[in-house]
Amino acid sequence: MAVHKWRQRQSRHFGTVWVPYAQIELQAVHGVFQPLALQIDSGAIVSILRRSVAALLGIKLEGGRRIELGSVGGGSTVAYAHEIQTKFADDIAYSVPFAFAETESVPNLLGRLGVFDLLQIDFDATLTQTEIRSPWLDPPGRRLWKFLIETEAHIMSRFPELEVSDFAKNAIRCFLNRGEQIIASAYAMMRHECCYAGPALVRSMFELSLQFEYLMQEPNARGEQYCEYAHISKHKMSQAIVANPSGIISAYLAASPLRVEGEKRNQAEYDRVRSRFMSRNKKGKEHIWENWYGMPVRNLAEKLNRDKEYVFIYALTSAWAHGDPFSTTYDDADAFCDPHVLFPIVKGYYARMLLTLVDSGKIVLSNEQYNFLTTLSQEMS
Amino acid sequence: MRDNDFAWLVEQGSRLFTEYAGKWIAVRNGEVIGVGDTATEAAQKAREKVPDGGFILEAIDAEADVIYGGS
Repeated sequence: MAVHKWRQRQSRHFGTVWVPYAQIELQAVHGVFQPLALQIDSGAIVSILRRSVAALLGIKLEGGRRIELGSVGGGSTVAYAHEIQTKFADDIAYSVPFAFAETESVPNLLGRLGVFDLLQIDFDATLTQTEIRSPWLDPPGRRLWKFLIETEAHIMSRFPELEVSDFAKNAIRCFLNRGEQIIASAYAMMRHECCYAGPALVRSMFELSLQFEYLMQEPNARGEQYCEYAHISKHKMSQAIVANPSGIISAYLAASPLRVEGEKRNQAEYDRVRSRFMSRNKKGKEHIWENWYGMPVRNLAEKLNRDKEYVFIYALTSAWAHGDPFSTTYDDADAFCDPHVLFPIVKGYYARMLLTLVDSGKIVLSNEQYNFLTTLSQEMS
Repeated sequence: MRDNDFAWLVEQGSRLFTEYAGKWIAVRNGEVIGVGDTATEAAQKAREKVPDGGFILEAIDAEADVIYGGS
């Protein structure tokens, strides 16, 4: 990735303005790359350089295709198109079309063709900088991504026809919504080349898919259980907030005029549902379940015959989550930080959830859609 | 990539716009080592100073209030 800070310039009519610049390297005919700083212009169809740059690179100007470039002011400039090996970042050279003007009276500009359509260019107004990186998905990856979105949309369009209770529908919607959020987080990490927290996402997605499989075995009963447990969670959370009265969230809630009413309502809901999430330990002491399914994640994985997966995923992700010395010392200790590992795994678990819904809800997919989800869900295991 | 020289161009932006408007400049290690009316001229002067060293080139536009774009 290349990061190029913007520059401030004094303009005649608009005061001080920010101007995005980039550093590129152009390959001369004798093979050496020459660094050049120039403005980025997303309005220009093609990058344009002055005549003398062609001479500097040893390019015969008129050897290229003659073109006429119009400008927003209405004038035109004669130029010659040449493909130049160009580096933007990471020492990778791309073949980029440039229009070399006949004159020296045009600005050097980095335009769209072969640049904006091949690379990912982010104009960051917060940090006043432009970030240039390779695309976060290659062309086959983009096709897969698009097909996953289309398949998911198809499944969701059939969602209202599912013959399950409203509780079940609500629970299913919650799980799929969280799955989409995790996918979106993985997307954002990959897009910004910051996959450091990849193990956290993998672990969340794995647990989500386990719970979803469990839910879909008996969607009506477990859907109700899932929705009702939300009152237990809410109560636990409010207790935690009360226990930490100096925190930001506590202060915010303390100032709320709705607090007293809300606490009463939460308590009433908690009292209503708590008996169904109550167990006794061996000594006969009562305790409330730690989660809606009433067992440790490991037991849930065993119940679903996913125990080997559980051991694998937890061995890799727990090290990251707990700041394990091996994990923090070696960059390659966390395989899930690699986008080529992270994305297939996260997508794979989401595909497994969609397949579980399709299989249990009798949603009809085309062979292509069904095989696609099956392949995605198998690729990551 | 000559990242330090690009960063220097950013830091010195205002001064360079005032001092070298309309010119090409060649920069190496935080120093303007070549100035000219064309890229070749600025590069030639830079090579006279530093025969085997790299440098970054930039044409300092005279005018900021310009709309480019076009097709």
